[in-house]
Amino acid sequence: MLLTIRNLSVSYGANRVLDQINLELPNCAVGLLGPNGAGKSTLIKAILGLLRPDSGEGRFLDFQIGSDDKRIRQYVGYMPESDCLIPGFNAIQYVSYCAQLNGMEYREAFKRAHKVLYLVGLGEARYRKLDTYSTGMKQRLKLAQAIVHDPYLLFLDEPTNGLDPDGREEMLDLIRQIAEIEDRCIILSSHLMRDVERCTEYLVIMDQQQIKCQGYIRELCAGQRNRYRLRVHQRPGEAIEVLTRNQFQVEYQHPREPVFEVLLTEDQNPRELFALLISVGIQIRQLIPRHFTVEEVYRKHVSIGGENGT
Amino acid sequence: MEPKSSEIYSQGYEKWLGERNRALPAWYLIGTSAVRNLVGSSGCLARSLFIIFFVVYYFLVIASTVIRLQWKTIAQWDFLRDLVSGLDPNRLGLEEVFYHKTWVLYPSLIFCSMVMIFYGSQLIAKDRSANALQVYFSKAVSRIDYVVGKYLAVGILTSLTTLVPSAMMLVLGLILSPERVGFLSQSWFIPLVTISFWLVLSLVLGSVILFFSASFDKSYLAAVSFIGFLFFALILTGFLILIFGHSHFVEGLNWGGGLVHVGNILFDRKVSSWNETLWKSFDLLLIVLVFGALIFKKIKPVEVVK
Repeated sequence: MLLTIRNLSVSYGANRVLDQINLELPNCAVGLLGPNGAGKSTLIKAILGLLRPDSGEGRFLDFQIGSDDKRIRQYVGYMPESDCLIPGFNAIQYVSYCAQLNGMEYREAFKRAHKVLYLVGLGEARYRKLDTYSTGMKQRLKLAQAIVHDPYLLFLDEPTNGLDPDGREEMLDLIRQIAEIEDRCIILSSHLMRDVERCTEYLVIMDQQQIKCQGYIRELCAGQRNRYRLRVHQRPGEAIEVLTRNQFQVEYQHPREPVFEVLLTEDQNPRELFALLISVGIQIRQLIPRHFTVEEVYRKHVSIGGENGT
Repeated sequence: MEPKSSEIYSQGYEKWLGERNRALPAWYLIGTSAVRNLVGSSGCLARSLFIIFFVVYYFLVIASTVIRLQWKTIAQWDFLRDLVSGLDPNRLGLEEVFYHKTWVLYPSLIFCSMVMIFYGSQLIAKDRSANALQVYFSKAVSRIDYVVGKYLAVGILTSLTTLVPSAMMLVLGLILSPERVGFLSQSWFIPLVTISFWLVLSLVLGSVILFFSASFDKSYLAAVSFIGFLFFALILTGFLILIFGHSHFVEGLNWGGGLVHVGNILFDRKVSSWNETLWKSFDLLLIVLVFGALIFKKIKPVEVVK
């Protein structure tokens, strides 16, 4: 495990902002989800060593969270959501400066800055002043400064903000490729569930200062083995009536589309659905095992408009 | 050879398995890059004015040093005789430290105040407005590194009218002085004096301007506050003297005057009143400590993640 946290609690004065957090992050792409005020930023701050925990402990690589702060940050990359450029620099100076601040030697920092800027698609613009960059270019530059020192753990906060559709696709591809580097972990914090679903394998959902759920997405989204989603060509009402009459349990009907879900019992077989509906002249267009989306998993664990108004 | 699984390797990405122990400390990187940025981001007119000022200032320093050390030789050349004929030989034979005081102490007090207003005010305010604190504190940089780096930037700016002209005069003196041993015997302590003055100037001016710079997102507000504080201290001192009468502690609250007093003592190497010197030094120390503490309070690394 790259990062292990046990019973970590953090408070701002009398307010507890992280409550007994337990977290184990594998070397893969992790999606961090939660409503505003859930404690995501505080968790990142605690890992970066910017906040002292009240209790609990954590380890990142060989470093103790809360004591080896500067050393930890040398191995962590952070791409903030908001613009954070140092005025007066051009891209190559900026990225190499960030690498040097993270402990790289001057020449090596410049060499890597060139490579990383080409990687994020800013190779041709690397000598331009940062003040002249567009929103999309700034976003790429933020990624470049975060990965220039080859971090073991990379935090990405809303990385696709302000990008056009093409730029967004490129950014997500790049994130996915970074996530595939061996022994490296990315933590993607985004409100766009599709981005999280596309780029990450592991999910951490936070709400009300606690981790509500964590695990591999494929496991969390795996539905019940006996639940199927059915799309018929026409007359969904009649199809539901036929199935109900034959002891099939219909659980959900889509309000606008001819789609509904069927729950099968032990002795029922999906093939029987075909036979029954064809016998009344209804064509089945799609029959798929029902999987949850990341959004559904999120909604299951997060109380919208819950106790603290989140 | 390690297995390459991600497509990213085909696009030039390489893992970095080397050391992450930088050769240069973070505060040094921050200080030098701050100065480079100030110069780089200042307008063409401002840069030209500063360059002209320095060319003229350094030319005057060099010319006056050459003339006073070699005036006898210059007097032998017909075409330059008029230049030195009007000079008073008594003024040319004064102690070396007198010339350093003339060229360093007074010009630096005026110039450094100007530099603080125009450039020093931008040191942290620009970082704040550009959200650059996020960049610094998400890297291996502590609050101490950041603040010390900014003090270094102030030190580099103030050195332009303290350490640099003083070094110029000393090097020229060693080269051109007809009596090198005599020159050395009366100037060996000058580097110590100049460095001490540079330190005092950088710490006092740096603490005040960095505090105001850390308090605002807009550098002009920091500059205005700096000027305001200078006048406020002057008026407050006058007001307190009116109420309580003269006291060295109250006089020392006019920190501009305190700087002149300490500078005079360093270059004269003579203390006229220990009591006055102690109180004025105490006031300057108080300003450095209070403003230094306030700077640390203003800069919060925890705001790095919003």
